[in-house]
Amino acid sequence: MDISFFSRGIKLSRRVKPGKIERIPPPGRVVLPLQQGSGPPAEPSIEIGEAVKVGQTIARGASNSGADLHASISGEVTAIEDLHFPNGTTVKALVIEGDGKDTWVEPDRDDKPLIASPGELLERIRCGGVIREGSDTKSLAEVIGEAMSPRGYLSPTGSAVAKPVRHIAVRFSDQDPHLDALAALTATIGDETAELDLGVKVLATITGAEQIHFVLDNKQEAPGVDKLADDNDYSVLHVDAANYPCLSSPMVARAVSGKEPDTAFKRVHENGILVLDVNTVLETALAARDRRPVISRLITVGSLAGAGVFEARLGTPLADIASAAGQKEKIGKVVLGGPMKGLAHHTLDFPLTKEISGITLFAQDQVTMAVNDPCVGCGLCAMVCPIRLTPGMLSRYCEFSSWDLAQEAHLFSCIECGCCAYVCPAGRSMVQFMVQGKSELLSTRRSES
Amino acid sequence: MKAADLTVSTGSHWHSGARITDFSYNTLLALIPAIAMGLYRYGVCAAGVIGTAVASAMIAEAAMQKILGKPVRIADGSAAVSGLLLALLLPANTPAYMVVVASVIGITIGKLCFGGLGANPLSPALVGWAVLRITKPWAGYLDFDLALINYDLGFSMQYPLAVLKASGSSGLQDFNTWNLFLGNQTGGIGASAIVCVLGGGLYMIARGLVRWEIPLCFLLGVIIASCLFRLVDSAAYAGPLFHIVTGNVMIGAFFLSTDNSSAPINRWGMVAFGLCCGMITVVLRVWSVYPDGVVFACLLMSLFVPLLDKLKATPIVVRPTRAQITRKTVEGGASS
Repeated sequence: MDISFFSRGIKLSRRVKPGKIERIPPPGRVVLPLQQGSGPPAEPSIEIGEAVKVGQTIARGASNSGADLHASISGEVTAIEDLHFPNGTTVKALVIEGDGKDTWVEPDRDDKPLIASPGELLERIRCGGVIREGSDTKSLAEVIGEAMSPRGYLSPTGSAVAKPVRHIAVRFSDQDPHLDALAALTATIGDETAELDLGVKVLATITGAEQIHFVLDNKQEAPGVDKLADDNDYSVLHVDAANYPCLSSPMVARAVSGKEPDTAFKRVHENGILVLDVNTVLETALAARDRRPVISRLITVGSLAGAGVFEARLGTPLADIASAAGQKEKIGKVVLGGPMKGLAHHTLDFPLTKEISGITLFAQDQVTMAVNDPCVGCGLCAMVCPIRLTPGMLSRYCEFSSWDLAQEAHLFSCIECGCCAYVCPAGRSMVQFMVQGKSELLSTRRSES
Repeated sequence: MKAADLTVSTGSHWHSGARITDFSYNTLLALIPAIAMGLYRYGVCAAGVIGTAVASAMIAEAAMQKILGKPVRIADGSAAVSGLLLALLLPANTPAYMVVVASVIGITIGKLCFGGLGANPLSPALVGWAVLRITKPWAGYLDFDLALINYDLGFSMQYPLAVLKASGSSGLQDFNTWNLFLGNQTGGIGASAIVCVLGGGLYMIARGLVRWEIPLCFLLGVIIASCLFRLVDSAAYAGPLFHIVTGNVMIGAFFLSTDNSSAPINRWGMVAFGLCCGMITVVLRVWSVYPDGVVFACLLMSLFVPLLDKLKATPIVVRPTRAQITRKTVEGGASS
C-alpha cells in the first residue's frame, strides 16, 4: 500500500543508503543514570563495591511497571554520583568500573515465549528494561500495561486515559530525517525476521491489538519485512520520510487508523494506537525469549565529518562515541537526538542512555541563533504545521504571557516538531515559546489543584 | 573543549535560512522594471517622487523608532518598500511636500503607532495614499488628467478610468486592451506599467514570498464583479479585461494587498480576502466618486483580517471523525 497522507510539514534532505553499523567496544567505565524516561527514577538493588556481570539487574523500576536497569559492562559498582540532565534536572547515577572481561550473566532462554501469559510477558519486558522512546519516553511495560487497564476511567482533564490498543505501528525509519539508525538496523535484519516476528506477536498478545502496520520509508528496501507482513497479513505503509514530520507518532497514528489522534499531553497511544520503533520491538523479543535485557543502544552520530551508525553500551561517554565517529572540528553545539527535535546539552560529558537516539554535532559556524524578530504574519508556520495550529499567533501569545489565550488556541496539541521554527523568516524560537507556555500553564494548574 | 563554548537551545536546531529581509529586498527587486518604465516615461520628475517617498519613509521610521525608544531597524527594508509603493501610485509631478506628508503619515500613523513591523493592521503605503486622496485641496494633484496635462507620450493622455466614469463603456473605443496591458496609459508612476508589475508579481510568487491565493483571487474578484455589472448593462459598464489592465488593479493584486501583516495568514482567509478586494474594487469604480477603488478596497478588507484569520483549518485535536463520534455514543449508551 502506498498512501500519501501527509500534506503539510517541511521537506528535508535524507540520506538514501545508511552505512554499516559500527560497534564501539565496551568502555572501561560507565555511568548509568537511574532516571529513564519520564516518571520516578529506579531504585538501586545492589550495594556500592559489589561485583556485577553484564546484564545483571542493578536497579529496579520504581513503580509496578517501571523498567529495570542493568549493568552494561562487568566490573564493580564504585559510586553513586549526581548527573545533570539536559532538561535541567539532576539525577543519581550508578558508576561501574569495568574489569575488562565482559562476562555475562547466565542466559535463561525460553524457546516458546508465546505460551506464557500476557502478565508474565509484561513482567519480562519490564525486567528487560525496554523503553518506548519518543517525545514522551516511558517504560514500554508502563505504556502497554496502562492500555490494558479497565476502560472508562477519566483523568482530571476529562479525557479518557485508558483505551485498548487496536493498532500497533512499527517504524522502520527514524522520524528525524537526519538520523538513520533504524534504517541501518532494518538493513541488517534482511531475511532474519524471526525476532521481529516474535516481538510483534508478543506485543499483540499483551495488548490484544487487532492490526499491525509496518511503516517504511519509500526509499527503503526490506524484502524480509515485506515477506513477514505478507505472511501474517500485516499492512505495510510506505511514506516519504523526507517529508518531516510524517514519521512522528501522531502522523503515523493518523495514517494507520485514518483518525486524527488527540495529541494533547503527548498521549497518542491512548487513542488506541501504539507507535513503536523497530529496535523496541526487537528488544521486546529478546527480553521475552532470551530474557536478555537492554544493555546497548543504536545511535546515529551526525557531524561535520559525516554521519555513522554506532552500537554502543549504555553508559558510554558521548565524547568517546563522538571521537569514534571522527569528530575533530571545534564543536559549537551538541544535540542529543536529531537536529529537528533533539535536546541540546551543554557538554559532551554525558553517558549514553536509553533515551538517546542520536547525537548531532554542530561546528561553531553552523550554529543558528534565534533572532526573535517580531512576527510579520507571513503565515509560513501555519502552512507547515502538521497539527494545523497557527504557531505564529501562539508564539505571540506566549511571548506576551497571554497563557490563557494560548491554551484556547490549542497550545497543548503542539507536538514540538520544530517545523515552524525551521521556516520562520523572523528567526523566532517558536518551540521555546510553546514549551514555555506549556510549562507555565501546567505549573499554574498544579498550584491551583 | 570548555563547556561554556556550547550553545543550548530548543529545537529545531536547523533553519531554512529565510530572513525577514527576503520579502522587502525581493519586493524592491521585483519592482525595478516598473520603476524603470516610470523613469522612461516621466523622466526626472518620477525619480524625484520615488526618491522623496523612499527617503522620507525611511527617515520617518528611524526618527520615530528613536523617539519611541525602540531599536532602529530600517535595514529590514520594510519602510523602503512602503515608500516605494506609495510613490508608484502617485502621478509623476506630485509636489514633494505632498509626497513627504503622505509617506510620513503612512509610516508613523499607519505603522509605528501600532507597534511597528508585523503589527500594522493597514499597509502604510495605502494609508499615506488615502490621506492625500481624501484631503480636499490636494485631490486635484491625484487627478491624473489634470496632473499629467503637460506630458505627451504618444498615446491617449486621458486616464482610462476617468473616461469610463465620465462616459461609460461607449467612451472606451480609443483604448486597445493590449496597448493598455503594455502600459500605454496614464496613471501612477509604476502602477500604469501593467506588464512590468505583473512580471514582478510573478517573480515574487515564484520565489515563494507571495502566496498565489491573494493575487489570483483578487483578479478573479475583479472578473466576477465586472461580469455581473456587464450582465446588467453592457453599454454602461466596462468588461473584466479592461478593469484588470487599468489603474491600480495589477499592482494592488500583487503588491498592495499582499503586505504580510495586513493580509490573512490562512488559505481560505486569503481566498476570501482576495475575492472581496477585487469585487469591492469594481464596486467602488462603478459607484464611488473616485475613478479607482483598489486602495480603498484593500484598506477596507485589511480591517477584516482579524475576522478572516478565523477562517482556518481546525487543529487535529478538536475535530473528532465520524467513527470517533459513533464510538463515543456507543460507549456512553453501554455504560448508562
